[in-house]
Amino acid sequence: MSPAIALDLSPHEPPCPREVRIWIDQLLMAIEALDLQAVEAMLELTKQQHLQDLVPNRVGLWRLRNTNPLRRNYQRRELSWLELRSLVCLTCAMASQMNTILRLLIATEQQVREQKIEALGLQQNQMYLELYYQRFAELYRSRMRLGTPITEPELRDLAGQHLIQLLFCSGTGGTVRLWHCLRQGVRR
Amino acid sequence: MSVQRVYIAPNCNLRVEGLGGEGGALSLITYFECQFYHSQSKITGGRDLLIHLIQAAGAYAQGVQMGQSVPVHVGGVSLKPTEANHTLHIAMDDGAAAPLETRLSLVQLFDLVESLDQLCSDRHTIAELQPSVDIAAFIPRSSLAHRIVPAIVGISSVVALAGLLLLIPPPEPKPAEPTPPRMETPK
Repeated sequence: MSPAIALDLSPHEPPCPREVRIWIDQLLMAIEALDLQAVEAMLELTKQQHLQDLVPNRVGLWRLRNTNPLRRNYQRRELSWLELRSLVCLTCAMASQMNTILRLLIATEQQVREQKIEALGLQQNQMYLELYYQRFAELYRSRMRLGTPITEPELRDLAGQHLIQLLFCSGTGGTVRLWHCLRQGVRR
Repeated sequence: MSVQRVYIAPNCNLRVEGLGGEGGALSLITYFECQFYHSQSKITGGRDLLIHLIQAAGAYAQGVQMGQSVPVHVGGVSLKPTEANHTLHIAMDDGAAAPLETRLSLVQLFDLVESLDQLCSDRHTIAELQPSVDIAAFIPRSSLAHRIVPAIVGISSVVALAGLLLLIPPPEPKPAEPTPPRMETPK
């Protein structure tokens, strides 16, 4: 997937705001909750997508993600829009590889809401969904500051919302869509 | 030369027909149809309806992705959230055909958007087809009266507080008490 994002930025554009840094880091965390080996795959993708200048290695990726102010290891570093673009490309490339599991989990979530799981005999799919929620909650609690107030249902809602976002990231226009989401979310 | 393009997603199938230009590129769209497998409903129309569908579906998907599902109306196409699903309503190009209304799950909505995005990103199609990613125009802005209420409340509370402060009498100046002359003692 080619990073077809136009940097529509003015020369005096300030770095990415807080909400954007939180959003992109949590999307990457949702990917990790789906695949525990996702970071290795991301590092491999940086070579394929020629993003090594911005994400040279595991520590470089960790530094970019630690611009999320909710993180325990937040070091008051800024995230430039160029760096954000590389994270957007990584997120969408990972999401496109996970399209099948994203479809399955979102369809399962809907079947759970409509109480059709028992009738359809899809309890195994529900277990996958619960495993995703559990991993996301564990990752969130282990990485975010203790003072960040969030309840169990709020964490599930957050994890569910990130699944939907990742599904749209996995499509043909995924990078452009996520980029505009982040930009429009800022302008809102 | 007649050209046909087909974009297949797991839940829907988009077929576009038109006239071809150089290298088999689609240069003029004359007809399209989009078939959903779950309901056997089929959207058919011409270039205008296809462009409206691309704009409406793209903008609506952007709202869903941002967690702000808002109704979107473009031409004869409207999409709105209903309970856990999304309702697509289409007034067909030819007035004789009955309007189509179908409920889409999130995955079915994604497949519709995906097939339209594939069409837009196809290098062999016309350049005027661009995916829509701007939801801002569809988010209802709060009315002027609604926005002005906080300002009125703020200003009136300052005025009321100022009125209350005026009721407090200013302190009376106390006459200065005569102080005894200081006696300096020789060191």
